Amino acid sequence: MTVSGPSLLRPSLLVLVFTCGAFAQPFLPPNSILNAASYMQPGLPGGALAQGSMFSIFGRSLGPAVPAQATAFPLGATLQGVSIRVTQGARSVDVYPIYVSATQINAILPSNAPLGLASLQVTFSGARSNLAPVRIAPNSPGLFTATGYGAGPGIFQNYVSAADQPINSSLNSVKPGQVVTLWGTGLGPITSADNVAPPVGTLNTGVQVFVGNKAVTNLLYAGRAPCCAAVDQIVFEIPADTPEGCFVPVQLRSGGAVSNSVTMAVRREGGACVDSANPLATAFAAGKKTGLAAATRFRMRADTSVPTNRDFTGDFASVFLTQPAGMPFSYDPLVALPPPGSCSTYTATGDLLSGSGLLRAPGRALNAGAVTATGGRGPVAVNGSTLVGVNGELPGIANQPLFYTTGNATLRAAGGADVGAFEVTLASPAGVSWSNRDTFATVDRSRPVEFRFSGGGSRPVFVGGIGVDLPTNSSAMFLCRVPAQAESFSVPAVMLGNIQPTRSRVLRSPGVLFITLLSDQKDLSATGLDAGSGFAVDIQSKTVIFR
Amino acid sequence: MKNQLTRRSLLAGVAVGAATYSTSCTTLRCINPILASNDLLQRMFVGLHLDAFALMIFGTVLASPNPYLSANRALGVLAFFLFPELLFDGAAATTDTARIAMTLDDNTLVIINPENGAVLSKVTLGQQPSLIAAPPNGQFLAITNAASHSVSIVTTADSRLSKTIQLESGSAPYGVAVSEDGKKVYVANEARNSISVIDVAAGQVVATISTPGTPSKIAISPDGSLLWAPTASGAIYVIDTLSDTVSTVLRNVPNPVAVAFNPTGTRAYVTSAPAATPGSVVVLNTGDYSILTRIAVGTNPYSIVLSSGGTFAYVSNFDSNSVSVIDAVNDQVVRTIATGKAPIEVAIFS
Repeated sequence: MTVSGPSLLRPSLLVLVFTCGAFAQPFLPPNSILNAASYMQPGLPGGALAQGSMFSIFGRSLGPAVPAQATAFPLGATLQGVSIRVTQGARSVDVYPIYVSATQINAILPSNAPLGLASLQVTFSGARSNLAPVRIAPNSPGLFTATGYGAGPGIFQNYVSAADQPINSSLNSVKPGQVVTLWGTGLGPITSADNVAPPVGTLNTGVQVFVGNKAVTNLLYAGRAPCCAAVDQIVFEIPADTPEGCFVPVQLRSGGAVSNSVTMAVRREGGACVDSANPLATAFAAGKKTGLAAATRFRMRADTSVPTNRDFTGDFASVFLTQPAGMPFSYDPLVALPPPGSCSTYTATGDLLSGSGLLRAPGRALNAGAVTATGGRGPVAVNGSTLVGVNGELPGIANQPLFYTTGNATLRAAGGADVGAFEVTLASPAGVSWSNRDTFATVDRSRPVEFRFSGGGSRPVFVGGIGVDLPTNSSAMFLCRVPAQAESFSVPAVMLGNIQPTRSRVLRSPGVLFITLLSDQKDLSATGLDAGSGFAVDIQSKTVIFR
Repeated sequence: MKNQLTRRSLLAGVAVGAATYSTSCTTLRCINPILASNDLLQRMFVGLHLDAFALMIFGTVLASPNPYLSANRALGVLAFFLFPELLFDGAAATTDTARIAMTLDDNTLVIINPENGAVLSKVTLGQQPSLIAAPPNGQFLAITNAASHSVSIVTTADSRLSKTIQLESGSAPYGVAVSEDGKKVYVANEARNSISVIDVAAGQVVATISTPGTPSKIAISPDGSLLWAPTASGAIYVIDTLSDTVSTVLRNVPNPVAVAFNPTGTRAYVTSAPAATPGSVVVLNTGDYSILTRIAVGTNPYSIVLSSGGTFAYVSNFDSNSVSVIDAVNDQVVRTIATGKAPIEVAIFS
């Protein structure tokens, strides 16, 4: 056989061009099958679907143009012409659709669904979708949120009496020692049918709940809600030493799998929440127009799977002005920071180390006119958060002189339709001394991570980590606020539960640990703004391998 | 309401790094030194179908340093990485080791040290060894032998031919890809309009997927869930690797030849080589398979690879005797590098 060379040397055939605009056939995009409560990215450890859980499917032409939902038990395997099948090898199970529409299906995965990787396919009116991979686990808890996408205020009911169980919100805090009911899905499978009203009883999956880093010691119930197939209720007493705040983080572990983080409002007196350590959060939770300005220096030591160690520095200038929406369940991860001594976790689609951001609940960005920053040079236009200086030979980015070189930087707004002119001058960011930075090479996700540092004093210090999994286009992060005056902080292992272990090709799943100091806090006052703060922010980070 | 913040009060937000919340970084990915650092120095091996191979460092063409390599034509080139066992005892993990694998027309596979071009080992394979693939952990290489209709498996730790899997007579296997977990090898049979699925451990074909239209070069998405198989007929078969069945058939790229993905798998870069016209790279959104953009390159664009950070794409233009360097962030050609005759495969590492 002679060498034929690449096939392109052959005569070309008639080219058929097919426009992919019309998807009459059901279509499932990648990563479109999610836990219905957490919406956690499928590539993350907590992104599997649990046996017996409720999950959501997103796509095109999945069902009828007019949405329909199941209204009675027993649930069927078909709803308005929509059926879903999960297949693993020679084994298939039917899924129970409970809500169908052209772009979204909610369904219940049977408790006997095969574990591990499987293929899911939707059929609507005889037309079959493409196959989509799903990962099925016995436990994969997700907590429902008021935002609807798995972050922010959780769906909690503060127990007052059997007849009085108001929803926890920024206006209705829970008191330490009070009992709450938390709603979720994915605690684990049941032994009876999933398409009828479920049996009552705590599931034997070793449920643990953490509120503001405090382990719940009085867990009263963790199992199916009697009303609703695939919906779980977790009833527990708020620990007496739970920190107060408007956005106290709550996580749950079931069978070793870790849920998304949600928040709750906690206050000893009940009523509207107050966050003494974060007054901006208090204002935001109250629906006030809030502003945030920051002069940020970001430093990274990259010494993982690189030919030579590299140090990078980036300077950012940031101004965020927002009027929250969705009262009393307003949420913005920029504002909703965990109280001192506690940690929250976040997940995202995309690469958090490369400009992808966390989802923010809809709010209205306030117009303060043109915003500029002046530091080592300027004024430089600022739009949200703007890179204003970089040192580190990053291809694709022209080197700019570092910005925070003159001791002070000033952020100015000219004034706009919503917020009047303002100016805030901030000191150049200065950081803590991170004494054990270079001891971190690999991080064992099953063990606590201890940060040691000095120089924070009474100023706010945060520690955290980010893990990115590029092949699945997903990221996870944990963030902890250190108590005042502390010089060390141990991050509980549960906070790393949804960070993907580093792949063999490290560059496909980069990870970092970081420590942040906020200093030189200034009031940010302007006409039209109810509350505002400016900070100098120093972030030190280091690449690590998560295992 | 006048704010009453105290000096000890806490800020919201930028605590986690402005990079996380950046809204105005549009180039590169703002600040991703981990990936960016490995795009800094792109060293490129180009297998030349008619004229040995070229080592190029960012456009500086170097002659093949090894006379043996200069005397043979390259048929396939692959950059792969050997991964030493990561040390989990607190010691720093050792970095991976890059290697170049190349098939030559003397029916051999050579492993090359990319630092100096030295041939480290040589393995005799079947007839007309062609394209090469490796799993993410680099533990073995799978090579198609187009003229002897077989697939060779070479273990990289010892450069040993561990097994040869015979395909159907006359298959003419060419394109090859390895599953994410290294358990399956997919082979495009040009003469059988099919994809063979090989169980590596068992050393045998376990499934055959019909892909009418002459599949040639194939690639697996970064998450391992899909195999893309462009064909000369114009169809691109998107195959679910769990069930090894065709999931979707695309027909929106004229004369598709090869495909590569960005690191997150959200974009597919498909070389398009219509006859008698300049070629292009068609960028698809893998979420809905829509076309994001078309980038004009040289004539008969053949292979395409992306840098580890996904910031650059390199396309061999078979009939233009050049390599196009594409800025994958801004979707434009930033450099065209002249090569020897008929560049066929490109491998890059840094």
